[in-house]
Amino acid sequence: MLVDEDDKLNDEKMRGIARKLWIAGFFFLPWVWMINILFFLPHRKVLSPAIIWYLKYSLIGFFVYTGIFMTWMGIYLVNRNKWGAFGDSISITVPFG
Amino acid sequence: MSHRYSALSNDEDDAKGILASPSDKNPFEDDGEEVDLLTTTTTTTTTTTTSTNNHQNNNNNLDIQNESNEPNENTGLINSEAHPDEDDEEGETDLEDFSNMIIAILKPVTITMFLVVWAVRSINAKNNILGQYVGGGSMGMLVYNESSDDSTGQKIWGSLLNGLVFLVVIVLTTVAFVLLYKYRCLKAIYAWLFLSVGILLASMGSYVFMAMLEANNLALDYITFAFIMFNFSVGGIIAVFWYAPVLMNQGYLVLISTLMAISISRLPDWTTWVILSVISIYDLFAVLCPRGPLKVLVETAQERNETIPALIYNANFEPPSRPESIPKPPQQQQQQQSASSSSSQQARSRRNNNNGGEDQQEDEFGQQQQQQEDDAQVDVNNNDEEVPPIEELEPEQEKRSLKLGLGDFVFYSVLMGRAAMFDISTVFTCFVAIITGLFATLFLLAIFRKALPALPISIAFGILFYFLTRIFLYPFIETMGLVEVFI
Repeated sequence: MLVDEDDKLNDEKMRGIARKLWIAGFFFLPWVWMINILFFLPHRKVLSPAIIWYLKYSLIGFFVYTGIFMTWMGIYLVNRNKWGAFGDSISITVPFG
Repeated sequence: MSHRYSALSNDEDDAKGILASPSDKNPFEDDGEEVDLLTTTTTTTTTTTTSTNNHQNNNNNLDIQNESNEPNENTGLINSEAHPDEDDEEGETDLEDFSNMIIAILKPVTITMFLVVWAVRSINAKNNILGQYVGGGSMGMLVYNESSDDSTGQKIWGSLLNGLVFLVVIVLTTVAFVLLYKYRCLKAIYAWLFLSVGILLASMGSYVFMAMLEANNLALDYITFAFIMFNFSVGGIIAVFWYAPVLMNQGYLVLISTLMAISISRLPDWTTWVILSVISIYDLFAVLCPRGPLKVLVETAQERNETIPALIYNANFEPPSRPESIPKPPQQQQQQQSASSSSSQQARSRRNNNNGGEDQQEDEFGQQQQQQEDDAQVDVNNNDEEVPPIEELEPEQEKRSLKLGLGDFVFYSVLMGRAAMFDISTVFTCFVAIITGLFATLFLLAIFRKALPALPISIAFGILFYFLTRIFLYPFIETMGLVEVFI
């Protein structure tokens, strides 16, 4: 909606978009980095090196953040029972059984 | 076209309605269908030619399409070049076009409906957290909270009252929205839409996610949960309002309507039916009356040559494939390779060659639009707006896309959700009924070629078939099941 229907993409504009999404991603938003990459995928043949730089670091950032959180989730799921009361207190749902 | 975005505003959906019985109209529409089909063929033929001309005039649009290298770019090229041949194939083309249109709109609607049915059935099974938060009666707008002990009279009056409140709320929000748009208070509109979409995704999304975790007996900690939901909702806002892949944009719109529908379908039984009827009748007036808010909105947007500022699902469909399209790919590749900024000029000159005498017109047009764009960039406010939540169907000829307001998705799905709470047999009959209504609306769209309300026919069919199934078919199926007779 903030984008006009007849919007034109030129190099400068694309760089602006890539940069903004790249910055936004630092606020714990790997999903936004993913959107950044997916959005430019169809345009990959016309991207300038500057944009590709942003996209590359978006991809790396995506994997780093995701990796950290997946690791944490794994630790939590494995150790939840061992942690006992503490494990339950950080759980949003406490499964039975 | 990857940059077409539309968003839908759902806030308006929390309402209740008064009852009206739209069912009377159904048989009439049904009979009309076949005849309409014939008319459609001829009518559309004329229109197609006109739209081809539009294509050439709207050179600017084509440029944009070319630049973004999207599949739709073919539309423009094929249309302008295939023009001479078109006479032969018009009838066929239109029908093909029509079927593409139906499929393009059918997919998202079906996905939304079945997501809602799945959610309603799996969440409803356990009486869990979602029930406590969003469950029947906890909605602030309910004046009357239905309970099964109430007498029929109480239920009727209570649900009529609820429906009335719902209607008033919707009318007020719609009117407020249209006024904001008309007087260009775009910042207010943005803030409104951002907030509503953000809150909806975050809160309803969280509830549903939690309920799903609970229903499946899964554990998750607060940190991961918050992280996932934060990403989900911020990503949603970006995808709906800003640049994002088209598929993701559409996916989020479908999700938004699903969430909205899940929360509405948890209203008390009779209230839901009353709301559905009231909303579809209101829709009829809002879109068709000379002073109806949605009509004013659509007209204002057209006058200003802008996108309709609302949460709207934009279904792009491929034009029918023609023999001419086969040699096209090389050209397409060329375009893709040329850098975006220079490609617009190339594309323009190429097109000019094709179109011969129309160069001047095109250029003038292009300049005008360029100016418009510049202006728009100066006042940031000019370009974007959002609309109230209800529904319109609007044909957009040049770009071959069909717009369906998210409100339509929501209320179709609410009906399905309600049906799913009764039995799975009602789900299937209601699905067929709603889709039939949608087709009828699309036929009418092909005839009238202006924005039409998408709710009345579908909802009338849906309600009719729900009760018919419930009264006649369900006992039949049940008995059959009991005595193990299979037909």
